[in-house]
Amino acid sequence: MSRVIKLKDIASIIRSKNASPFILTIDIFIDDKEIYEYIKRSNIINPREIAEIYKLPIENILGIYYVDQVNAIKISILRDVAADDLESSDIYSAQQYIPLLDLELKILYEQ
Amino acid sequence: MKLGIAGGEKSTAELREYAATSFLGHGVNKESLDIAIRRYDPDVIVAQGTSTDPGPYFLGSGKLVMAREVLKRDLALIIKASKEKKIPFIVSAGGAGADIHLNEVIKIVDEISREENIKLKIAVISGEINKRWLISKILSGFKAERIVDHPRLSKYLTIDDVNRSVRIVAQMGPEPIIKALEEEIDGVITGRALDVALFTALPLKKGFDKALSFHMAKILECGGLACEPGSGIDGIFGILRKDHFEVFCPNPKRRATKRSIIAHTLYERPNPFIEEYPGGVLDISNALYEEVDNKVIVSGAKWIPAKYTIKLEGVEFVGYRSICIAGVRDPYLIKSIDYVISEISREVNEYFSYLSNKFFKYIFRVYGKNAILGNREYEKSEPHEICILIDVVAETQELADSIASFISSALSHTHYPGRKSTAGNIAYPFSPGRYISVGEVYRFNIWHKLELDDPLEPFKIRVIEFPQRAIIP
Repeated sequence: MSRVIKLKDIASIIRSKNASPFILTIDIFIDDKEIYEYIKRSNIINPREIAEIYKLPIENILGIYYVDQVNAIKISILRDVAADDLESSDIYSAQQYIPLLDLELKILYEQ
Repeated sequence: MKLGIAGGEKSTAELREYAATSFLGHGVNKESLDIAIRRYDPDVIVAQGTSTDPGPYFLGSGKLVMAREVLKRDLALIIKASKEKKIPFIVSAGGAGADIHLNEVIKIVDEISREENIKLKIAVISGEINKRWLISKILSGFKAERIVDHPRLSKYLTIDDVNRSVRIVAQMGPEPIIKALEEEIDGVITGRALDVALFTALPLKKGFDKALSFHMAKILECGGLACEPGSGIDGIFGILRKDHFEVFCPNPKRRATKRSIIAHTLYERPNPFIEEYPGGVLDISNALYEEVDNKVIVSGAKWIPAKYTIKLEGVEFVGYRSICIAGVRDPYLIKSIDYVISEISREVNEYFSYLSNKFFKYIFRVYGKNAILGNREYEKSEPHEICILIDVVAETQELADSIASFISSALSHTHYPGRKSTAGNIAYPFSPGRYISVGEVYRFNIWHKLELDDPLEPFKIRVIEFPQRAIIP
């Protein structure tokens, strides 16, 4: 049995911000401990997936971290276009979490 | 573990810090400051006021990030409170944190001291890096490696990088502030500084545990943002002890929770567990957080000693910007906008081909379509109204203005499939409409770490008495 859920429906906070003009960091706080544990265990949020969404080479995904105490997932990305480049559109990177809102996660249940 | 009660007996075995705001110039909540002073007896009032978040413009142009009036009011509130309580204040101020900014802050403090009729003796520490000093460092073999492997940055800082940079600052560590605190002073104002340096200076001076001092600083540095509900214009209080610290919010409208405090340790940091500081690495992966009443009690951070390095920040000049804000409501133009933009781009390139040896660049930012996410946009629905921000950067303001003006005229009168209006395609919201001169554009070209033998070496400390003596011409 499985169920497809969108990240925006299980996360109470999804936010993005610069960690320097060259690094984008995204924090996701999951409400439900079980779903959080499932995401962590199943590795469904992985560098390949994130690289695809952000149209970047996989090497640019610097890390995906899990902070168990608050059910948080942190994704840090090396930007191709730095926040202060002429082509950049978001000096604080405050709106760069948007492509993750509708990220679909397939949750498998044990029979 | 014996827990101290906020507001209870004060002991030398603890150190009490009040972080008055998230950023000097965002606003200081006076009521919270009063509560913090009256009920919780702080040893020091701290606030950060330097950052690179607003981008390279402020370091390049020399302008303050924050509105001068708010900065002045924040400084006045902190200075008066600390003077009355006879405790020092430690703040960084001026946004980008170079001397040009710090000098403006000194002027503001002088005004405060005159208007409020208070005498002050303040240690002022420059965060600006002297270019000749830095070049001599490079020549004598010091290698400053880039902090992020981004292709824009040289792998190791070059003399050319230094020369191209308009201004260079460094994030000072706690040591110059500790040195300044040896003087008989009312407080310390720094230029560019590591935010946590402001909060760790007094604890380290008094011999508190390094890991706990840095961990508490990391939580306090953004003031009330670490509380629930978060606030950028409110404060947070920390009490540091031998083997733990506690944090809480003096304002009864918000509180520190385990979740809000841990969430804040993630904020704006690439790694939630490890952070590099001058002289060591803070590892909070095994930290313990316990929520008791309205406080969070924290322990368990580790400090791993490493080389003493400071982060250098520098910006180079790119050009001048001119913009045009063009509103479009016509459904046929919206439908054809990609075609229209490619046609106009062709016209611009043709018309200005005689300037091919000059630097200019233009972008159409189509708000309502994909201006924010670009090629990562996944929403395909058609908008009924869009805003085209024509963004031009060129080597002179005149050239940038000319290109922006040319583009807005072309856009205004270009033909497109289904066009019914022949009197103008765009709605300018105000005058001037065709082009608005925005001024200089910069970008970071130095983001490197430099090893130091002496943490004080590049940072000049001066003690200034206020009001300053009037200069008689």
